[in-house]
Amino acid sequence: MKGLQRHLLQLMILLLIGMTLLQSTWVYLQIDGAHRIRVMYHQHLPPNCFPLEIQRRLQQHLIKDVPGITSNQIVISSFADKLHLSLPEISKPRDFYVNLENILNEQIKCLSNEMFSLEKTNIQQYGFRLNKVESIQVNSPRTLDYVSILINIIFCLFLARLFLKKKAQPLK
Amino acid sequence: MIYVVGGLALAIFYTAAALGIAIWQTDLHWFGDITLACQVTLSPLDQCRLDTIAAGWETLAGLCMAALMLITTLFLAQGRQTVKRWTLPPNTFERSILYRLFIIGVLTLLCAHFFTRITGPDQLGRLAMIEREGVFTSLENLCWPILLQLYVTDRSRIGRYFALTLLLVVASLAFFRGTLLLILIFGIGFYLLDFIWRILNRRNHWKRYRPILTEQLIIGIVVSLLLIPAVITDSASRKTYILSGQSTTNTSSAARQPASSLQTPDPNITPITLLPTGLGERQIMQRIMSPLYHASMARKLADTVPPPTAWDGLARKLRLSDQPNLNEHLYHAIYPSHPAGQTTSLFFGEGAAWSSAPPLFWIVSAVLFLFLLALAGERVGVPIGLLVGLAIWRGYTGGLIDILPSLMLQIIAITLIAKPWMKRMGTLR
Repeated sequence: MKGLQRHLLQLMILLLIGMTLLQSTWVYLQIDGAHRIRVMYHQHLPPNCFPLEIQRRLQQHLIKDVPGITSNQIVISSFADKLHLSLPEISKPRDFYVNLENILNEQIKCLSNEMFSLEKTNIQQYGFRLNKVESIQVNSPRTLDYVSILINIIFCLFLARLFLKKKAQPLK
Repeated sequence: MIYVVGGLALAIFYTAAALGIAIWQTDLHWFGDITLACQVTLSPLDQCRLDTIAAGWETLAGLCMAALMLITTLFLAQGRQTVKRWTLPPNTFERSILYRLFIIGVLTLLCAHFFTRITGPDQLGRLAMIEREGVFTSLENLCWPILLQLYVTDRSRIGRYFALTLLLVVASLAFFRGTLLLILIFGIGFYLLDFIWRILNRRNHWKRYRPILTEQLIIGIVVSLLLIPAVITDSASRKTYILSGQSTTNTSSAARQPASSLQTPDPNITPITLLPTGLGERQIMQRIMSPLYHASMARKLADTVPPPTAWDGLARKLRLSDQPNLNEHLYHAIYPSHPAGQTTSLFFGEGAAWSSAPPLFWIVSAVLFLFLLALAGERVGVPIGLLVGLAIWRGYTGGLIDILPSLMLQIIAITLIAKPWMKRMGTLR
């Protein structure tokens, strides 16, 4: 019984060490200087309109215009009256995103006509305006990663102490 | 330690249930609040569901891995050895002035809350009442786990009955049925399990524990008779609220429901009219699934919008900042027209927003951290097993950073109240 307990403890310690090493490797392998572009557009849409169709068309446009980008790499969200776009860093000048703003505005005009049957005078008040383009470094270790690794190490030490205690006890 | 294991078991059970429903319910159009959550990241509903199922599997795997480590450690640490047990002596309530002061303080708080409730305007909606009585609810949420811990630790009848009475008043004043449910699960369910476990491990002690078991059963029956009808009435009133066209989560969210004629989330999907039949069941299923969807949204939203930091969350909990914490940020993203509220984004959401590694690692570490805390408490003789068990459950739903300040305050309080009186009592085996 004691022998089995010791083996179980060894197994748990190995599992924990393995997990900590995997996590550390994962975190540090990711320091590759990868950047993503985050673009923010102010959006003013017709009441109750939700821009899923606009997102679809925007995604299609980006895939067509930026070679090498896939739909999975483009993340779009709508939050606090803003359209947020995140994609891998591509060497595109700011004009590119201003151009996207024009495309978005064309889309909203088009959609307003197609789906909302709004009059031309009303359409003018809706649209998108480029607010911010920023480049952020992704895949860098964060505080929570260090905290998590530290907790694993402490727990591993606790188990090791338990193991040593068990080892000191004579087998029956 | 049964409370710690119980808290984790509850989290595993809940995740498995939520994941099962998420896999089973393929048509999300029936669930208004979940549809709203998916729209934040502009994901098609099917994709949103698949992302959520992946988040569910990862959460379940993390929790199971943590449970494996926890149970093995407990089993190996104790083995067949004799283990000393800490407990409060029978006359603590009479001797500890801090204990009595705490009870008086909670009583005053509850009286003030009750007075505010009965003197307030009659026509306030539920959400407005939650906002108006927010300070009292926060303080009660801080106090009731301490009361519950004292209730299960105290050996003096008078102390136990005081704690139980106050707990029942807290449960009756609370806006959330979860409070009552947790009091019942931890205070009666796990308490009984703890006794049964001890009886199984000690021969010829049935006579010693029989009065306590009988007391627990009577309390369980009385509490059920008193409070369950109230819960049923409350649920019925909420159902009427829903049928009147409003969401339980947000009064204005109905305006963004996809059933609207103007709104066209996906032209390929035919809108389905929400029928009142089976509404209650759908509400329950939605309630169970929502945390998983919120967790999945936390991951996707963090890709495009920088989330509030962990420090923001801590400062917010300590009332040092007005900046929203992660769960408030998510709530605002999903229900933008509502002024305040919080989502339940799980350990997963926290890991996804603040860690660069997969959230699975953070789920395991968060549970291990709380487990280490419980072990340390047990070693120095501070009874915090139930507090930590509750923290595992509450942290599982809202995130570790969210519950850490309150857990620390509770541990300090219980140390001051109970530590000087803790005595080593007999052996477990």
